[in-house]
Amino acid sequence: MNIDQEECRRLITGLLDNELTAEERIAANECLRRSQQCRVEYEQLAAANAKLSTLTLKEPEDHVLEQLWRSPYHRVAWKTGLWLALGSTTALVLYGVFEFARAVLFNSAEPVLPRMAVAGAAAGALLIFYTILRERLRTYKVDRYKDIER
Amino acid sequence: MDERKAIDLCIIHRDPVGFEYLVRSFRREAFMHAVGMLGNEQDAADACQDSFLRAFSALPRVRTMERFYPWFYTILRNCCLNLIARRKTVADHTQREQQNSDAAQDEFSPSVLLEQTEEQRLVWRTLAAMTSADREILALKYIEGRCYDEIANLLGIPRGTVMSRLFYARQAFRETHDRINNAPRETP
Repeated sequence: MNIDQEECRRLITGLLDNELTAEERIAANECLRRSQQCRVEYEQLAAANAKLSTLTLKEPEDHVLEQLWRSPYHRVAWKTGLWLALGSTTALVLYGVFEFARAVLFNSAEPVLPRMAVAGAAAGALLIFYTILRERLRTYKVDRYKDIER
Repeated sequence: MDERKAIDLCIIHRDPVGFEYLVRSFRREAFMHAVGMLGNEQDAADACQDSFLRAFSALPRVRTMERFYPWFYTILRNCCLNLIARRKTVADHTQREQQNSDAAQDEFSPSVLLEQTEEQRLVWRTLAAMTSADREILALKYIEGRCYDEIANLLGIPRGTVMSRLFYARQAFRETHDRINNAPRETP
């Protein structure tokens, strides 16, 4: 039987965990019988196994487990509420802007100077908004600290 | 109700009662796995909540499902890895003097251990200092007590690869354990 080192390692791992078939167990024992390195590695695995087997975690309390699903319901409700509120507010603002533009900017009955002033103020505000947004996006791309929670 | 019926309720009838049953059935093992990966109850609870929420949102897009937990495990695993990656980024950017592995050990609270012996604390610190991949397979084996076939099914890898990964994870554990055990103790 010719088994390479990697296969031996798999087999001695399975032997330690009692997970081998009868045929595999014979092959694993053959590895151990033939190779000194396999025997050393098996001893090392057994020592690590003994230490790891002592590890026991506390059982979680019922209230901790209950929260695992109660909170997501809250999160869904919170997110839905937030999107509804933001969406409605945005729609309202857009409607206001549209109505304002129709009543003042595109109303030929209004004098030209206030119309131009309002149009200039709106264009200025848009320009500032665009500049800030572009700057923020550019900074965000190279921001090393964006993943840090403040 | 059983798992099959609950899955059918979720997928075919879009009934949240089925999902609640699945959460109740698998929340303990999900939580225990997350504690093993993340080291403390708070992060584990966050990861589980996030995972259940993602699973709940993704279910309407699922056509068929044999078992719930292997499907859910992929989501949970990604959430845990995301949290670990975020921690690493924070540690990198705050330029701690410690190594990242030492920073990870800070997150591993010994309060989750059943017995507070020095040996258990050392094993826990050792797990904290290992890579996520090694810690994951050791958590599946030792914290959850899963057999090779279950681990292979959850990770989507062949049984032989489970054996290989366990071999190298245990070797890494032994080396890290010796390194931590032999490191000079800090004096207060």
